Amino acid sequence: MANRKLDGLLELIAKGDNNAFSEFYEQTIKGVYVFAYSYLKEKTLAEDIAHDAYVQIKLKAHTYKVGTNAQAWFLQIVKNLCLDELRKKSRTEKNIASESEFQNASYSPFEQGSAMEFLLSKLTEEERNIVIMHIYWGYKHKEIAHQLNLPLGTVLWRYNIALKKLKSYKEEI
Amino acid sequence: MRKKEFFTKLDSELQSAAPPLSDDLKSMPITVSSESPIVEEERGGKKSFSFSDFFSVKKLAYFATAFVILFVSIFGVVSLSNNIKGGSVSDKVIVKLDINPSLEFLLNEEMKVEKIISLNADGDVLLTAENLQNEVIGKPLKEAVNLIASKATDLGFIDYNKNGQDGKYNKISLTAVGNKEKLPENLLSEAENYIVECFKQKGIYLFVQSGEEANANFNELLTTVNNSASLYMNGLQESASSLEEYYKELVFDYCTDSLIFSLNKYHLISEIYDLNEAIKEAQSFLPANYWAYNGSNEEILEIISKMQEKLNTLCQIYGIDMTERDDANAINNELRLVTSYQMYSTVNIEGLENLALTGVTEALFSEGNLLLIDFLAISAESILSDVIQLYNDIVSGSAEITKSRLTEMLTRLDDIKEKRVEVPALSVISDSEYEAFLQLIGANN
Repeated sequence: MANRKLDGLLELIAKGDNNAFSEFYEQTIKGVYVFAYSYLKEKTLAEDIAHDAYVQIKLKAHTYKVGTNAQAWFLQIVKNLCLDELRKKSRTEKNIASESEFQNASYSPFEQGSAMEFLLSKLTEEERNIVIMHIYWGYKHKEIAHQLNLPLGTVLWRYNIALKKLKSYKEEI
Repeated sequence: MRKKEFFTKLDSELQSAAPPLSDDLKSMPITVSSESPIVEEERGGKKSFSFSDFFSVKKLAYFATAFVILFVSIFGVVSLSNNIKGGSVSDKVIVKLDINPSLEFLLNEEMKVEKIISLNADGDVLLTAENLQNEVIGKPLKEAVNLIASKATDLGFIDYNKNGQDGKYNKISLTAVGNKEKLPENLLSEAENYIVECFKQKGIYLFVQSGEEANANFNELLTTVNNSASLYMNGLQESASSLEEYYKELVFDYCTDSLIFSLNKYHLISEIYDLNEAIKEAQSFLPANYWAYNGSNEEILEIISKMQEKLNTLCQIYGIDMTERDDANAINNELRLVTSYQMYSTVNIEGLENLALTGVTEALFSEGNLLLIDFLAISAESILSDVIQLYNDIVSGSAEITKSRLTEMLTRLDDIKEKRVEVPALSVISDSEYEAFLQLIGANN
């Protein structure tokens, strides 16, 4: 998703353009969903996060400064929602009454052997974040380094390691 | 599967799994403000240099360098009244710590670490791979240095195998530079004793040497340290010569790692070869090799056990599997062993051992250097041709090609990293054993 295009869409959304919002949604939902799912590893929660993120867009698009960085601004919203959910989840797990209640929420839309499950199981969290940010959010490695507070070399290194791991995907199934 | 195919499949899965835009969400009203948009902070902040488009090579070196040098430079602030507005003299003391990896500490008035700076690519590896930056802040010097050295051991920069035999040992030098009057009396000796004792408890021999040097430009150094970026990569100056030098450093580090890795393989194969010969020599009639022997001679069985251990290591680390004792493959396996062993017979091993100790430099690539041929022969992997080509690219200034080649090399180097053996639990070294070690290396004057 091109930053400039998102920038333009946010500007329109801020003015109340619902069509622009629909297009923004179509352009970004996969990136939001894969990011949320890789954090939370649950379909229902990932969907909830995605929903909440776009609600935030509708509520806060007017606060976004056009021409800055639409991707970073939106990603921060998604990330904060994921982190809040993780914190909530860790508290909930301690209080859970029955295991089945928790397991019902854990249903995965991705079957064993899927590319998504491979992505989750084979890559470390950091590698996964780097890949998702680069492929689905269009971040350059330098930008990822800044976002994740890592040296650029580390980001490049881990990205290449991640790609190497992903190349072995077909051989596993 | 190629990267593109993987992501195409992933995309298709996400297409099905990601929720469509619901009617509720679509119909939800958008908040429109008539006020000016709130100024959002750019995600900027510190700009990264354009030359941060490269990365350190030596991540988790499999084998340690011959020695680790720590230079601790202590700068006492005698008087800053002439240099600092306001006139008050700071009691802050700067400790500069150079280590290969190279790092710098800034100590506050309580002699605790306030800042840590990496001075080379290996330093970046240490700081980032082990998240040391946060761990050492606030610690006294001796604890900080010990932590650094311990992490360096985990990453392979300090070799737990070296115990003074064959002249190989781990050495740390602590050098204090600055105003001796301001230098806390026992700072270095305390750090030295502390580190030695900690490593003795871990069963690792470490020789620590400390000393002092004078430096007349403390104020300049103080300013430099205060202004320096924490990571070496982020602090490199934007200049063509810096980029070339940096790339060269990466290439040379890579070559040294590759050489050490290959030399250890040679040593392992040599030991296995010798053990196999010993098995055959121990039999008088129709000698059988390791794979074919099925007798009950205890002496031979003991040698077989040793050889099995080394073959397991060869398999685990180098992927050469000759572990299965099987009569049917006995001849083939011996042939493989002999062929591998003889391949090294034409190589100048001693020259390469020295090269591994000193590290690969530009000199290896100079015209007419015969050692280069030996180097290529022993490190006979396809990556070596890339190294040569990469070096040429660096010299010719082909930055884009250089970057892409470095990417590939890093991936391959990571293969070496993944086969690294974890530091095992070792026996505590007694005082007398440590004394004997110092005597062995000629350090107990």
